[in-house]
Amino acid sequence: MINKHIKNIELLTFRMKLLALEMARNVGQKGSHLGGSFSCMEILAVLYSHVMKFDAKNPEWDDRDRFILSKAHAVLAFYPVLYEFGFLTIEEIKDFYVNDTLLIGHPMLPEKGFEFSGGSLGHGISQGIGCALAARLKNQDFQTYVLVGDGECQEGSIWESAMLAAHLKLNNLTVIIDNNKLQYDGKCDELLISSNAIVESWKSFGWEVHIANGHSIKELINAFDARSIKGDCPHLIVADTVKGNGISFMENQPEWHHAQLSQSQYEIARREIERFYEK
Amino acid sequence: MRNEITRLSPKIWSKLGQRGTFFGVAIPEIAKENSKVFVITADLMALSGLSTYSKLFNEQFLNVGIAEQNMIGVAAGLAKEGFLPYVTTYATFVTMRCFEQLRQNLGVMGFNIKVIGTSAGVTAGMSGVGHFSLEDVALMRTIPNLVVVSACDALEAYKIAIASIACPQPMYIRLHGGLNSPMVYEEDFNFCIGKANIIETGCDLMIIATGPQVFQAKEISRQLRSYNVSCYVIDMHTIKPIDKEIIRESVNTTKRLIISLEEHLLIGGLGSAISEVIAEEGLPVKLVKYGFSDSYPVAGEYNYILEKSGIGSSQIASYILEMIETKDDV
Repeated sequence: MINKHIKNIELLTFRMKLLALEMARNVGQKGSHLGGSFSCMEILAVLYSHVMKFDAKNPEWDDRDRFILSKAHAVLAFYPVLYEFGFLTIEEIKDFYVNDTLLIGHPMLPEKGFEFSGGSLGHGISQGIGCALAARLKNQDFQTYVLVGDGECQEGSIWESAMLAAHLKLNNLTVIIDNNKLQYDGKCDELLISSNAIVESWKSFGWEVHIANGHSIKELINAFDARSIKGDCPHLIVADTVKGNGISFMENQPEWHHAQLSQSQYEIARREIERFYEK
Repeated sequence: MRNEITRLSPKIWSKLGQRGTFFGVAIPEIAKENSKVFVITADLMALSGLSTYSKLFNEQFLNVGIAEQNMIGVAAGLAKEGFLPYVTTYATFVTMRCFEQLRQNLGVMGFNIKVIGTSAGVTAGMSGVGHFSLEDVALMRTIPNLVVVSACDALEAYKIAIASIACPQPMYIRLHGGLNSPMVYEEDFNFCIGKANIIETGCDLMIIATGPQVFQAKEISRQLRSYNVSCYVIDMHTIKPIDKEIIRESVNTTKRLIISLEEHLLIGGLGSAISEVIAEEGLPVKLVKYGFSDSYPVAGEYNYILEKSGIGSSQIASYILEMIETKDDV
């Protein structure tokens, strides 16, 4: 049963990746954020299929779990998962990065599942604290999830929010770090600080920390399930990931943070993804 | 139940100052009526006069510590979930340390958050420029959809707080001074966001002031009166959206001279806002702006700073007299 569940999420991830590749190719020279999207595909797939409660037919349902994509550039993982669950139509997906359409510029569209506008880093956890605190004040049992990048953790505002969430004992807040160890200008640890050091900081602030292989559906499920929701601290899931995961020429290459995907690259990437999921 | 504004209220409240009246008198009233009101401070609870409020309205209060960026984000989350957040710390920090959070959450997403900057201008005289707030109005004016108001005295601070509840837009509320703020209004008056108040009428020139400079404008007007120069004194409490009508009126009611007066750098503040209206509408009126010119003032006692910067009341009155005497066309 659980194996079937995992298999289904893997297939979902597979479809999301193919759609993301198509979207990236279709925008041509505009380029897109492929690397950081392919590092968090499984995270989003697990969140939407295993962890969060929501109703795509009633996207603003008051008791839905809140999801905040703080690393908002990862739209090539976010939009495909929203499409898969019925928040977005294929027509809307086709309009990705087209002037005057929805899927451009990180708008706030709660009716489409985008809780906040994004684009600038270091905002999501603070906003998530507001949502989580509101749930507590209103006696609602929804959970708030925030996905941040490991590079994003260099923002000072992240640490302001990390301290407060622990101080408030927000057990209804879960932050997931997409720990792909790369940022625009190279490796995070060479530029500033290693991810491991960062993890220790979260722990010292009083967060409950779980570590998982961010590309293993099973490990992610276990990490989310292991949270002590009734405890008295917020939860951090450090998902160890690879930027550009699953695509040979993209993996661990900082330049794929934002780049153009040519037709030939698209074909190679597609074949590699298909081969991986055939196994 | 609202506090009734009695004959004594302005006097009592002026002792509390703008900040003390806003947070000690008005906010508890508002919070009692509206359970969605939620006050957040960044380690200035006691100084802001929020100690009692924090005990009485424990569920509607949060101290985030010295973390202004986080404060705005948390407020945005609460606003999204239906709360009406009032966030506060020193004007300089609440507008500048977290400008991008304000832009994203109040500007881009339009969350109805009330931002209260205290000790605005050069209130924190002895602490120096690090604590002065001289660019805040310029910055806040640039954020689309944000209403920018500035209180001239404690009673007006109270009126702003009450008006803020019904204002659907996010607001930046600029409060000045500590205890014992000078009184401009000695009795209840009509306060309407976006509609300037005429404090005095005259026929030679119009002094448009905001914040404590409204009190100063009254003093300048008094001094000029003995030289047979009569002034309109305008309390431009709302800097955005600015009351264009009153600026237009200066053309017909005065000898086409406006003096703007503010506790802010001259670039981007009230004077700039007035000059934009004059230029956009091609109004035949001369504008002379008083505030801090393009440099930071010294630290010191309040009046010393103004005088050292050339904007003490007597200094400005002298400049105006000189201008009137040497220029026939004004």
